[in-house]
Amino acid sequence: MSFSWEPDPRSLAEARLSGLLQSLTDALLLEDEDRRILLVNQAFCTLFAIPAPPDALKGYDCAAAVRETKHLFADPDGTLGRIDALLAARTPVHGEIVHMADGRIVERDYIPVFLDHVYRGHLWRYRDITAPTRARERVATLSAVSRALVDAHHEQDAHARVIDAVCRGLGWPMGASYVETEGAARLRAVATYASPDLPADAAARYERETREVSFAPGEGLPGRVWREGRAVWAANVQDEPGFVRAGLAREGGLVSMALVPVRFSAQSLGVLEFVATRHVTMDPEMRDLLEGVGDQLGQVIGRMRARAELADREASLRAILDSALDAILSVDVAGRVTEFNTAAERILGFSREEVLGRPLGEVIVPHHLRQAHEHGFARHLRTGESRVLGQRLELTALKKDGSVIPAEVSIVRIDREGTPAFTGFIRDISDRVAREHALAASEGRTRAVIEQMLEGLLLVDEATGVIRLVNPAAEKMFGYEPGQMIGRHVRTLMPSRPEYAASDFLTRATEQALGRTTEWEALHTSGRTFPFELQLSALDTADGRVLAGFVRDLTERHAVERLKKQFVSTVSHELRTPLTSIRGSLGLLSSGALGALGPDALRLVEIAERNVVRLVGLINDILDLERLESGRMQMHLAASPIDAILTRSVEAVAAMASGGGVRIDTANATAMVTADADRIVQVVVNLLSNAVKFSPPGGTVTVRTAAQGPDLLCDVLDEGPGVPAEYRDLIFEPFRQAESTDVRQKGGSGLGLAICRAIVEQHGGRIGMEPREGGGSRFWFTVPLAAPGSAQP
Amino acid sequence: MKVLVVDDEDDIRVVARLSLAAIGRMDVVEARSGTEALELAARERPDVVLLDVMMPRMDGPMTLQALRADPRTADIPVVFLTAKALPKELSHLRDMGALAVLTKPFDPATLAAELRALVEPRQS
Repeated sequence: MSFSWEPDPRSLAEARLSGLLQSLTDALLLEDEDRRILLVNQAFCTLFAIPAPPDALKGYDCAAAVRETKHLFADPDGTLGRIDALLAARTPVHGEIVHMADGRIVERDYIPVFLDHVYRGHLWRYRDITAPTRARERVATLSAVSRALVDAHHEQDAHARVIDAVCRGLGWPMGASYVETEGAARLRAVATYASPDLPADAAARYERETREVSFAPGEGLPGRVWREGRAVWAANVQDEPGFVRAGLAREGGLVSMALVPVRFSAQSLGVLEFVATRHVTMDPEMRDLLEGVGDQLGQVIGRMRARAELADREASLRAILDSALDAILSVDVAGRVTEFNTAAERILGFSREEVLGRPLGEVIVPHHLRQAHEHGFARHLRTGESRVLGQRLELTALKKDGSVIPAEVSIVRIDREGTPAFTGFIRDISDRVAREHALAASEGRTRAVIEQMLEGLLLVDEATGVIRLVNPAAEKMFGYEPGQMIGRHVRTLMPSRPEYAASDFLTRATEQALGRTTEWEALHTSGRTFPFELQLSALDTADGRVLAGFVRDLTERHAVERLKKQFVSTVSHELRTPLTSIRGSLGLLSSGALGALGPDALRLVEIAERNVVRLVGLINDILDLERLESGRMQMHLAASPIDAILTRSVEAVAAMASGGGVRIDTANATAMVTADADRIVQVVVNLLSNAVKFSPPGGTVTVRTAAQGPDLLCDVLDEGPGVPAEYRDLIFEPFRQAESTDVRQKGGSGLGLAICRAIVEQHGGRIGMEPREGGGSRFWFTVPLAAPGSAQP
Repeated sequence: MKVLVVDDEDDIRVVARLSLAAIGRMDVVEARSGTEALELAARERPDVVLLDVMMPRMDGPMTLQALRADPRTADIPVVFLTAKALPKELSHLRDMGALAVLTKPFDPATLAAELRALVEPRQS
């Protein structure tokens, strides 16, 4: 290599110039028209890392040298092409930016040298502007990041904008922003960037694979940064052990990678990743910058999340407020509405927008209460006193339509940043008030009925026997002053008797009396005892089972019954005595014992005698019926053979039957019945004599029996004219026969069937009559069958 | 057979006397009160006393007690003749020591026969 330098009178000047060039910090390279080095300074050698001293380079072929060292440029072929283009154009170009492969940025001037208009070579001036360019880029990037974060609408947006701003601003061809997901279990990319300068398939692959992968804490580079919260610099990821996207790194040309945590209050929320496709030296400024961006993004995301959480809480609070059934409204210290939920809108008829900011007093406080409301509010603010805070009050509220509703109101004071504020809960209680009024009215009516009824009423707690409620009639009956009976045990109303004092008295008495009408003896406060009738029923109430007893003093009824009994006895005696004389006299006359009577006289005496006998029968029937109906006729129940009963009955009417030419058919019967045999005979005789009486001469009366469940059914069938339909329901009522003239001709008291019914019912049986098909009547009754094996009397 | 008929009602006494005497061919002595009955019973020594129950001052049961208390009349059988008809009343009277209780009104044709059926088995 040689460098020719023509001796020249100006050589001194050139030497001086050369010395000056050598001392310049700008890199200078002077080439001749054949691109051989005329002059080069130390700064040039330093810039391009040429170890040889500058003087040794004179005459060196730059065209070859630049080809050999093209790898020093970030874009080797582009750079060579540009050099050729500049050389061909021979036009000065200043300030062209050249990117070095190691990341430095160099500014280049190209100055063609013409001597006397003849092209004699050219001067390259290079200046390393890496530091100021980086500084400018970084300032611009920081500004872009700040703007991006300000502009970001939401977290996702912030990630995308930041990664974009940093990659574009600092020349990272690829980048990604990761955040922790799945409850901080995985780290996943939410935003990626790939430079448009990258080959399209490489860019797409990076973005796709980066978004597909996720990292556990500590896994891969992103996972490590996430867990450790510290930045990591990888000079070449292809050398990194455990690099997750190894295939991508290898085939996609991923080389250097910078990763910084996205932190918020010492917590890693995510990771920023920046990838270079060439080897990049990490300088501390870049590191600080990226870490700063990570922190900035962390701050913004943290705040966004906090805001989102707040918004969420507000939204759920709002939702709670709006789903509350009670109206909820708040007022500020000036009494203006600051909150008005959906229920408030529904209950009060105002929309939220209508009332927000308006004084509460003007909105929902009824006119006549406004002054009190305002005074109370002002007094509370002045003195802290309040008659409404923390209370549950029943007030009235004004609706938008001007109507006033009853409302349950409770107000609490919840100060906001030291300023009083109030929240009220308002419940529309119109329905409840209406129900209460209706209930009160209904209760009033019920109470009036209970108070005024003549029958006594007692409500007694079944479990304790304590009297809960009595009406005045009951109090009067037992001799108590109003209210004195409440709380007493029912036993105190009974005379002191061992059976009333027993501990299980209430249980037994309830069992005996429930659902029936029973008679008891009670103790009046005066000390006298009196009989009373009890109708007991049980009610299930909210407070447990309650016995409701309707009580009636029987003193008077018993007295009346005694009188009636006495009356009947007296009357029957007083009637019998004269009848005895009449009957006896007529009997003596008709017997002929006192001398023969003429035929007409004898007939008249016989008529009189027959009617006296009938009259005596009537008196006997009245006595029987009275005793049966008052329950005073004792039934002597015993197991009795029905055939004996029927035989006795048929014998009793045999004479009457043969007199009328009527036949009585009795089927054999072997059943035993539980009965007072004499009384059942009375029933059968009655039915038989009716049947005989109404049978035509030559007719047949049939008696038959059959088991019917637990009872014996006994039928008496006749061939008589039957009972007119209109009397069928009445024939078992006392004194009904007299209504039928046809029947009256046949004689009888008209009490027979009523007596039959009373006797049968006292046996627990039933009695009835149906017309027979083809004429005649079927009279029937039932009487309980005796249990098998029961003794015959 | 001699019967002492005791009744405060004159009509009843007449009917009873005629029934027993004319139809039953019995000797009949009449008393119109309990007091009179005691005196007659002691004097006449009837085979049976047909005694009314409800009489003023000294009623049937009292008369029966008095008859039993007097040794002269203590063994004379007594049959009550009463207008009372309630079974309880009748059994009460029976329990007092009467031979039987017959009720009013009675059938004049059969009164004597009934009495004879009650008394004669005791005499034989």
